[in-house]
Amino acid sequence: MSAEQRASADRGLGLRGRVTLSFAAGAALVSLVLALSVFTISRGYLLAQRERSAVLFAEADADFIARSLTIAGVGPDQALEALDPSADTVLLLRWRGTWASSDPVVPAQDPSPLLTEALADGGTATESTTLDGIPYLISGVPIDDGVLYEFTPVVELQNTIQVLRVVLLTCGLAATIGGATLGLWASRRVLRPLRPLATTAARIAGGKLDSRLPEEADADLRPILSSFNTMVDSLQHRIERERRFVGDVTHELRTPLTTLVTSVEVLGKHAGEMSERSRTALRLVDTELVHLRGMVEDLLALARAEAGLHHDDVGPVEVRELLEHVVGDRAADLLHADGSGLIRGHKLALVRAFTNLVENADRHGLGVSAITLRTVDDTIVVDIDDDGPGVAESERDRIFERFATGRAARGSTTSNGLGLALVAETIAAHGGSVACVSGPRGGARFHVVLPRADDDEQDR
Amino acid sequence: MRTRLLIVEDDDRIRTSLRLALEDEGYTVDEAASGEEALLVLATGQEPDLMIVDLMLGQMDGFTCIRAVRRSSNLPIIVVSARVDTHDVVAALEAGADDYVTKPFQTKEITARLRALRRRAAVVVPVDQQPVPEQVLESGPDPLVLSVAAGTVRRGDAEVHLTLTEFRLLCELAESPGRVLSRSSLLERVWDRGYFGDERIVDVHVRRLRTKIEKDPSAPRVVVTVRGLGYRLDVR
Repeated sequence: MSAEQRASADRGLGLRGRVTLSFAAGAALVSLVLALSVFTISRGYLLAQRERSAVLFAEADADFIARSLTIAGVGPDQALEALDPSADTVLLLRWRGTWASSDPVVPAQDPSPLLTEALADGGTATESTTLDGIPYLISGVPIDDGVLYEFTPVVELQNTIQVLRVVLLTCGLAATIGGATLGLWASRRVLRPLRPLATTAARIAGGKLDSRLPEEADADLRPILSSFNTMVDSLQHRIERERRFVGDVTHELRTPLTTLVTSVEVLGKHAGEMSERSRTALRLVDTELVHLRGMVEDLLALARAEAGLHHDDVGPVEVRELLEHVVGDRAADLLHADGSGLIRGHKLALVRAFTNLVENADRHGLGVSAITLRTVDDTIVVDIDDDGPGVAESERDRIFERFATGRAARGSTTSNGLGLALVAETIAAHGGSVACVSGPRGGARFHVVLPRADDDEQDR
Repeated sequence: MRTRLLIVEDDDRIRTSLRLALEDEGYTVDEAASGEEALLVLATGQEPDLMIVDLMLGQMDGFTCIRAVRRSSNLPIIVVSARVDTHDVVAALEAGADDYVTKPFQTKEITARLRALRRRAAVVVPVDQQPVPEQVLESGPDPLVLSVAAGTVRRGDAEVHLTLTEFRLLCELAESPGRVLSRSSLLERVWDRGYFGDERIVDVHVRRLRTKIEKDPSAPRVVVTVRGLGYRLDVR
């Protein structure tokens, strides 16, 4: 698994899932170890107990048989009969080369070479075996001139062990489920303080920069909250500084422009008193001044759009009404509105953006051929088509960059290369997107998607 | 008689170019380089018909200057500002300005605003119309009475002093009581600005109007907001 795959797997599970899983795994491991050791120890103990009692019985039986055999005329069979073993115990006796058995199911031979070997040392020995599928414990006891094998059934013991196994398994399972539940609860508990963090961050992203997290009594959480608040503080300062900077630049550029514009107007009024040469020069100044003014306005609007929407400027905007005003009389029949809707936005900034799109179509696309408005789910989609040659695929992203005007338009005073950049920034500031695609009739289509406002959010 | 203008602007290049341009448009222009000087001109000189105030002045800023003028005069005031997106514009309107123009402006933008304000200053009483009887906007022990013909608003026995723009706004709303007027239609009717105007102008003037005519401006009963649509005047 690559690191990426692992990361995506982690994402898929989530912190809560992972904590729950770890708790469950921990509980499972602990209960497994516990169950295994309890099982092993109990089983060993029970087996040893059983073995000890089996050996005791076998030794007592062997003693009895050995004494019976010393009586003249008593053979192995008679000795076994005289013992009268309990029903479920099977005895097998070898004495002076002859075998005797209390139950014919037992073959007349040494039941196990291992046991024979152990008996050779002279002591008592035991071994487990099965006869007809029933577990038995064989205790071998040497007697004079032979050996007695006593087969003790251990079915009950096996049953007990089986019950023990089931009980331990159930307990382990219960512990695992309990661990998972505990993990789920603990992770919820731990993650709960993160919820206000998420909502506050969302509020800040939505432009409410004065949002802060409330003070927290928990000592472990306090550093996180206070560093979050500190971060937002510095973010707010930075944004405000940037806004102030934009404001300062605005003033610095606009003041001399005002003097220039009005003075050139005065000159224009009195152009009749000038020579032809002066008039030509004045015309040039005038043209460039219009260009310069437009550029400064667009640059400042761009900076404003980048700084994000100020919530004071935001109100409900009816998109259809907006488009009707943007196209005006000249192209009213080009507007096809299928429904409409409100968005929350800065009306004048949106007017400027859509005006730029229409002017762009006029300038590069032989004019707007259709504007369609429709609502798709929670969005409002506006398509602006033109009859021009379209935009090459490789250029479609680039045209939204600043000063990216195609070569053909360079030097023209009507375009300053900022129009589409301003469109992109404005639409983005409204939480929407704009893209250039192929129109249905071969021209360019500018595809604008804006999020619709909730109906109960109309209040300003 | 030529319309008399007072330009209050500390940047003498802008002031001079603006004077030249507006004189070309047929206005008589007085100049003041600071707020203090403007108040002096108003106190001692000939009362102008209109005033243009830059917000960025020296010692006394534009807001203070406007508030000082408003204390004694209903003179229409246009604010000239290089900053449109800050609170400056709203603050200037709240201080008592009637309208604003953003730098850099063309002379025709200024003259259009001046014309609209002049239209308001000469309170409209169409010749072919009977003098409008007094209109009771809110009855009760202290009735609110609008008299379009006399150009007055009274609350009980006391006259309510409205600026010309506020008066005009009230008249527009009172013309069709119970009907909602959108912000852009009010912008069109009162300020000669249409859909592309700044709707904050309407909001601020409505707010100012309410503080003067409503018994409780925080819970308006006469000029009410209609969510997402505009404003409506209710005769009570």
